[in-house]
Amino acid sequence: MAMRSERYALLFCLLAMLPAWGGAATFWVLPTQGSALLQSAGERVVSGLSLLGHQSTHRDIGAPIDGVIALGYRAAESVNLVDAPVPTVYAMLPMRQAEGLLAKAGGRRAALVLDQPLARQLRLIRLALPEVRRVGALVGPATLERARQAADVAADLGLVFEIELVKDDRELAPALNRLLPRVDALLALPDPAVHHSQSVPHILLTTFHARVPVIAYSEAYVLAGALIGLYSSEEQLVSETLQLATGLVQGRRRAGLHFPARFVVSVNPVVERSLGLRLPSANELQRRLEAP
Amino acid sequence: MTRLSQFVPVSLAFALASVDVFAATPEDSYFEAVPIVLSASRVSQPVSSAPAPVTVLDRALIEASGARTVPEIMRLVPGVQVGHITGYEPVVTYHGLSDRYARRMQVLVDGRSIYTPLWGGVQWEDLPLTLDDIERIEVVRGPNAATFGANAFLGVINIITRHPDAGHGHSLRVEEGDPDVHHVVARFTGHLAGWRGRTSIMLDSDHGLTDRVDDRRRSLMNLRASRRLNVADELEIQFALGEGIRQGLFKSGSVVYSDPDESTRSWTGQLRWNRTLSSGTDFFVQASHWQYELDNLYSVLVAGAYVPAGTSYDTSRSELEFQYNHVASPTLRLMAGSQLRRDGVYSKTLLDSTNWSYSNLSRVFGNVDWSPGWGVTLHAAATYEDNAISGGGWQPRTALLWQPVDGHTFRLSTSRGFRTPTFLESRGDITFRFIHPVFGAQAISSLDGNRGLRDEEIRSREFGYVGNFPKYGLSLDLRRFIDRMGHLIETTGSTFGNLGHVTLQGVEGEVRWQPSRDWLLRTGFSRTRSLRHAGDIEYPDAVPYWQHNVLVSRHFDSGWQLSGAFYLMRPMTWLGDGNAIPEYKVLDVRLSKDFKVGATSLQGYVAVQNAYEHYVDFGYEAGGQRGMHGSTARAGVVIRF
Repeated sequence: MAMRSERYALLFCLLAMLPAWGGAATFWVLPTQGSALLQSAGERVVSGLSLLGHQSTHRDIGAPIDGVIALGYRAAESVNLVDAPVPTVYAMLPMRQAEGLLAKAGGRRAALVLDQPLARQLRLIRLALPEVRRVGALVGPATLERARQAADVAADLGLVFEIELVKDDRELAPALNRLLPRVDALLALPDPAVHHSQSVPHILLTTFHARVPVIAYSEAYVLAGALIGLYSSEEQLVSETLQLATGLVQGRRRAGLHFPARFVVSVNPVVERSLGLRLPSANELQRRLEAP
Repeated sequence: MTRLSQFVPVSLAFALASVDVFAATPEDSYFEAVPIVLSASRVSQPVSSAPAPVTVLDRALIEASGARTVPEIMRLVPGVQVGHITGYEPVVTYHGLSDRYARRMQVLVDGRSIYTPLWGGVQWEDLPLTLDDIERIEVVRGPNAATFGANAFLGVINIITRHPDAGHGHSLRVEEGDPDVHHVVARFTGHLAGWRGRTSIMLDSDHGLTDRVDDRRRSLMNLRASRRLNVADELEIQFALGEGIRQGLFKSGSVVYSDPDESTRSWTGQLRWNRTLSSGTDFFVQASHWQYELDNLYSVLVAGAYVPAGTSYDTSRSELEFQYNHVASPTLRLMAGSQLRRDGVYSKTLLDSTNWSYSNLSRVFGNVDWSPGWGVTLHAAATYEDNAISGGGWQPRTALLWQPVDGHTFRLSTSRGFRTPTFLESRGDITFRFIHPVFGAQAISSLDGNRGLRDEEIRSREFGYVGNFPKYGLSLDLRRFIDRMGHLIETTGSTFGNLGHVTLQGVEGEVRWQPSRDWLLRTGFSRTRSLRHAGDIEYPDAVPYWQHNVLVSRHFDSGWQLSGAFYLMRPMTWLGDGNAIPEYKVLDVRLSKDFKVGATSLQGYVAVQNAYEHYVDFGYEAGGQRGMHGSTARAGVVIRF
């Protein structure tokens, strides 16, 4: 159900852009193989481009190219190795990796990351759970800096932000046990060293047992048992990738890091009911979060 | 943009799962499939939407109560009475109507029935778990055979242990007390070959009641482990092995016991396969086996000579259960299942047989919850059960819930249940056979079962209200009930008969108030009276007309916690070997301090039980005494690392 309306929305957005761009451009889209997700996204980007009147190629490298679209970290990393003379967009990769790639000097490069802006995540907590005053996060060394930034943003919103550092898997359980008594909600910041398919069941069961809701970053995490999820769907990411790529080539969009502008809020009704909470509907939360 | 649909098809999960879960690309963690952990059936329903009156006892409450055993924790449930024949033989019942062998309650540990097939009660002393293993206890106050099957006559107690995935680390608890209380529990968690598990080892002993010779000693080892095979499937195993030894009860009179020690041995195994198809659909298949042995041997003076006697017995239970849960839409939930059980009993004295005696049971059950709108939910449940002792029958339950406003639910429910006679009631043949040195082979028969017994029956109607006032941290649970019971099985002296009928009517409830994170105040009460009863049996007195309990707990910033629990029971009369007991009051107090030493956390505590007065709670007479609880004081430390 959701997918169909998304597709029409995508089409509408793309068509709305049409008058602004005069000529057709050719993009080289990568990767050509890899995970099912990136392949599916790649196919959508290709068909999206052709709907806009552009062309894409991934075979005939000799033909002139106006821009590069690299999906996922592997593709972005390989493109970053060469000095591309054309505007390049790295899309659907984590912020930390994107920052590393963009740090390389020269060329016009933009990245559309998977992460949500911290302000958006914390504002969502305020809107959905107004009684929550203390938010916590488990982070690995790689995301420690981001957690500190989150603490600053949280302070502006009147929230206390607690951080526990987890250096390896064995530290996860004690860190969580130390964190839980100090927080009213847990914000899962994406960090594969902390949140992975082996650790997530433990995190969900332990936080649930402590009646601490989890705000997570993917649909799968919400399905598994997180109370609220804030993430961008594949359709939304593809649509924004296209906008960013065409805009960058046209000179309408700046280079550098971009967060997704569109997002999805979802709520797990089973967990909501069991925690005895009554949240505004996901639609309502989304609407309020979209408003400035 | 839409609220998360409960229809998320399995194809999506598997499409995402085709991404190698251990793939190294950094963006994978944003999209990878994760096992559904908190599915609709795994997660506890809030009390306000349960179709039956439920009391939930969680870990915080259990700890604040200072209880040492599960029966002691049960005193917090409104309407529950707990008596002790000896320190190791407690009796737990709801709404009274019980003798020493409380057999009208269904008691489960992680979905396994643990009441003994022999006489229908629970050997609380030999539970396959420690208090530290308990996640929560859910008590259904009232009959619920439709969901929980035979024996869920007066109520259901479901003890749920902690899942291996929840809570890690090891712990050691050492407790010493007066008189002669020793308790040590070591718990380890870890993983091996993809299995994640926890194991506990417990050693426990105490001196029992003050006026009884009932010292006891117990050791237990248990294990619970789980393994996720893939995103949808999980396997779980449980195993427990326990043994105990205790002093037999000395009783003077025509029969003299000399140096009677009783020993028990038991083991349990359970294997379960959970398959989660989506967050609203899952099923499980569970197989379990339980073996229990009690041995006692003593000498009895008969006609001038001592002869050996004993009431030893062996019991076994094998169960296979299947249960399917499906949230068909936001307004319709379904559950269906089936169960096969085989109970076995061996006892030379109690069944007068040198062969095992078996009884098979099979049942199918299901329930439907439909919420058509306007805050109304209709619940219908039924069980069809067929067993070897009394044949087959339907046991239905219906409830109507109305939630006019968020946080407030009114509930009207009615149910019908049966209790199947136990082995002892239907096939018992208590016969002492011995060789008298002078008179030769003898057989003294004391109690016979009655194969003609029919099931006991209960019809219950109740009206309840559950209210939540989150602004004040207050929640209420009140109900008014009327339970009509008939064909109740009681002894006539030499055998059993369906002799009793009684109607109980009353009001009971719980109030829980948490004005801030540091305070907890909780009270439970029950007022019951009997409307009509069968002539000879003292049913009206078999339920106290009033009882209440109060628990207060306060956390202090420095890590201290002080809690106290007070219980009041008006006079009541236990049936059978029990007696009329006067009103009694109990006061338990506990003080603890949490602190950290590096990565290790410690808790030291002292607890006093029965600080107020000594009291008798069952009144079984032996050796001129009636079973008195004295004060006990104990101190302990728990180290978690």
